[in-house]
Amino acid sequence: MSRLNSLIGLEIHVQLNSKAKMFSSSKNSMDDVVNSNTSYYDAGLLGTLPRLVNSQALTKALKVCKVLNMEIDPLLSFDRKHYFYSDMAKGYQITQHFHPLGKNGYLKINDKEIKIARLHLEEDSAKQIHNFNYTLIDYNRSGIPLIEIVTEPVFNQASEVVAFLRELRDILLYLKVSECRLEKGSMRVDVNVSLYDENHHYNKVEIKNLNSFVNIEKAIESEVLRETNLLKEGQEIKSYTVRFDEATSNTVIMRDKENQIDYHCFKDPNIPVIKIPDELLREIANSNFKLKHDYRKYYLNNYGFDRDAVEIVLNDIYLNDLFFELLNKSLYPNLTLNLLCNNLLKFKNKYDIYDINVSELCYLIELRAADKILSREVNAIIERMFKESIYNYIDDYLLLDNDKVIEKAITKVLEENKNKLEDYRGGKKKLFGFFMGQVLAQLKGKSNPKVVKELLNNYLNK
Amino acid sequence: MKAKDYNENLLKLKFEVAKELNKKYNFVTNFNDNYYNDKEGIFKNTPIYIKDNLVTKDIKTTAASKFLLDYQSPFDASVVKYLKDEGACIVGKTNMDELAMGANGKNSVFGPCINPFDDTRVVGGSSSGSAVAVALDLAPLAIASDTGDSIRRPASFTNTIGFKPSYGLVSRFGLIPYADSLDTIGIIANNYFDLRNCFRIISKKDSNDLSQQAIVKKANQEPYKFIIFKNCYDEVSSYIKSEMDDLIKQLKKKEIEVIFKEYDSELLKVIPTVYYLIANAEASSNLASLQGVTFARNGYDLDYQDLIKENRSQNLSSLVKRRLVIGTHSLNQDHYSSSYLKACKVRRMLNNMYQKDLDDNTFILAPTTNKVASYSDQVEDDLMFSDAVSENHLILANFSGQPSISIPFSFKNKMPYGLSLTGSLYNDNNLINAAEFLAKIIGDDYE
Repeated sequence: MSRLNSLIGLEIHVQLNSKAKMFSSSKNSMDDVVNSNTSYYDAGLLGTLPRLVNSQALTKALKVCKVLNMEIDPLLSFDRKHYFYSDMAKGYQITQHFHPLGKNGYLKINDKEIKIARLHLEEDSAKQIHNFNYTLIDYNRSGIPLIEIVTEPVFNQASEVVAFLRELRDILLYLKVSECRLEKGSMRVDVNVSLYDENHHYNKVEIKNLNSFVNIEKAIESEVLRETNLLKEGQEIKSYTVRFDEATSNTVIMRDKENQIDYHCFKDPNIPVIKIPDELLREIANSNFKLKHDYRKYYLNNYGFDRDAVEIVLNDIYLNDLFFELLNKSLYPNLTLNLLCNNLLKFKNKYDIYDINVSELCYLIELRAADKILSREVNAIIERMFKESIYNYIDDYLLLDNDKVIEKAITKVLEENKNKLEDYRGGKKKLFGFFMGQVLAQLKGKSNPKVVKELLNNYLNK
Repeated sequence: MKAKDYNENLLKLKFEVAKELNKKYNFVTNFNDNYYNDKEGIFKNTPIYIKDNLVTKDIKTTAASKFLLDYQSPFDASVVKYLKDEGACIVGKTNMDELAMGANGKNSVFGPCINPFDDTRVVGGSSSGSAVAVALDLAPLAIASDTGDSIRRPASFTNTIGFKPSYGLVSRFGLIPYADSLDTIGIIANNYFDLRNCFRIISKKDSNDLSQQAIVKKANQEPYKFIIFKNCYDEVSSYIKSEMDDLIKQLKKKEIEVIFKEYDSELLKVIPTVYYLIANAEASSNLASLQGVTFARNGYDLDYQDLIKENRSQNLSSLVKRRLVIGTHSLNQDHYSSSYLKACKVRRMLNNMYQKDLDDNTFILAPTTNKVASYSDQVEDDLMFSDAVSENHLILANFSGQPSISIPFSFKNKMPYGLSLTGSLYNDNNLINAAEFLAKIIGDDYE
């Protein structure tokens, strides 16, 4: 047997984060009470019809097409794809089988061009929750807009696949078209693996049930190994569908794919073919979307920020939005980056940190820059910002830099400790710390230590 | 009796008579005892019957199928809502062929509908009950649906007016679909005044139906011009032909232009094949929601595979099942391009042929049916269609979406038959005017 190589292709489903569903006006959200975001259409009730073609979803899909360098079909046309399953109330899914929105695209990963065969719009099925002897159906997912991205089988190894997927996810996140949460199913990846050698191209196996990039990598490696071993033993590879079993890190056969499912596709008679407006196509074609690497380049080249800190910001698109906005408003870029990474981010799990008032945050940064607040107080100040306006309480934290007040405190301390003052002036310089502590105590900590230190020095050395 | 003749008392009386007559004619699936509607409007106190494949939130909607015997829709079809907004009283849902599949009105889980003119004969389908309700003068109007000939055929056999509007003028929201690209909601009526009002109301713009995009044309003035569909004329029984000849004579006397036109007979022969491939393909898709999950009758304890098998086996008639098999076959990937796709191409050819040279004042005339209603025990709904043009020509208007109407024409041994007029697309108002114009001439004939 000659050397075996693998070819890997991907089918990626991504839920678009439009406000409404693909063909109905119900809310697009999986976070609400089950079956609450469900119209009669989403439940597949008799007599219902698609009542809209979601233009927001279309715009988002077009943005992805643009970044993936795809040819766009200006005529939007939808087909029905049939299969019987309890997650599909109508008995069919509306998709773009015959005329996908985008085709023949590519994405460059480490100088390798990953060819993307097609990108099309479709609607999601309902979510099923299987229990021991019954199944529950949540139609909140039914009808959520999806894009399906299909790559050519161009990957040779698992690491390439994961590098591509990470890049793709960053693109989708930075285009703000999806939350891309694999564990929540808003991004789903099916992997096709086939082996070949000089003489032969073996059957394709599809891997499903992959809920993280780590598992995708493991699953591909394990499947390639399984197939290689089969061939070594002289057995054939059948077109199975396998699933990844997390517990054992192995791929397990789900079903025989020999009998290919016939989806009986035909054009949906209820949705007229829609000409995508020229203005929209032109707008998309002329857009220059700012992606993760654009921001990275900007931060590093223009500001020379710390690389690690920049990555922390870039890995959270909402934090990045906030940072980018603050950068344009604040005169203190480094302080801003510090404050976000070291202070604000601490509250991520407790509050909606992206909802913080930007102009108040700018004010806080200015106070820090002017040393008018103590660095150890910053967290407390930020936490209160989630509950009330900073202007209500900032006086509690502002340091006194009124020289007269400080001088008054110094005079008082020196008068009360005349002996020590003489000792100090006699050469016992260690006593400086004592005086400093006394003055700060007198001022109840609400003073700028730098200013105190300077003034105290003047007085002691008079 | 027209809509304006109705008052609260007459409405009540007609409702009671209807319940009594239903025992004999079996034209209603479910009556609505709470029919009274206190809204004001042009149909105040007017009883209107609705074909049982249009969903209603106050009455069950069964589509005359065992599968849906207990189905209660949570919403009203748009046309029902529009009529209720005009004060109409929805008195009942009318019997029909199961899921609108059938040509005789016999294929219903409620049993066959009986022809008021002769109780041994069929009414014609699938909108059988709607036609009977109007024929028995229990309402001036009934709403129905027409996919191949389902309004015009029973209208022809019951001496009523059966109107199929242009495709895309009446919202299909709330219609249990048979074949979306052909399904048209229309009207069975006993007078033209109410027909016009009803059409105006049900053709209101509805945001629930993306395919309702067309705008109806304004009516023109006479003179009308008529094309006699020669292939049909040549085929029909001699008694119908002689009535046609009389009508042509009358028209010519009034100096109205009448021409004979022969269409490509080879192309016309494939009408039933094209219809079956397209209509059944769409039906196999539309009825895929009948699985036993959302619409369930049997086997709550079964797993999905058995559940769907059990429900579809037990609750669909053999006729429906056979049509679903044909439809599924038509869409099979292996012969999709030689069956379904080819049928779509031939449909376009037929449309071009039928619409050619048809201007706003010209109408195609043909006998609606080539004979009177058949004896009930002599017809079965079969998959084999006759290839007689006079039997299939009504389907042409469903293929192209053109408006088409059947009006009472004449009688043979006390059995009625109709005359069909077809106009150009969206020229519905003119078509109704031309129909009324012809009705007067036909009426004159008898005086």
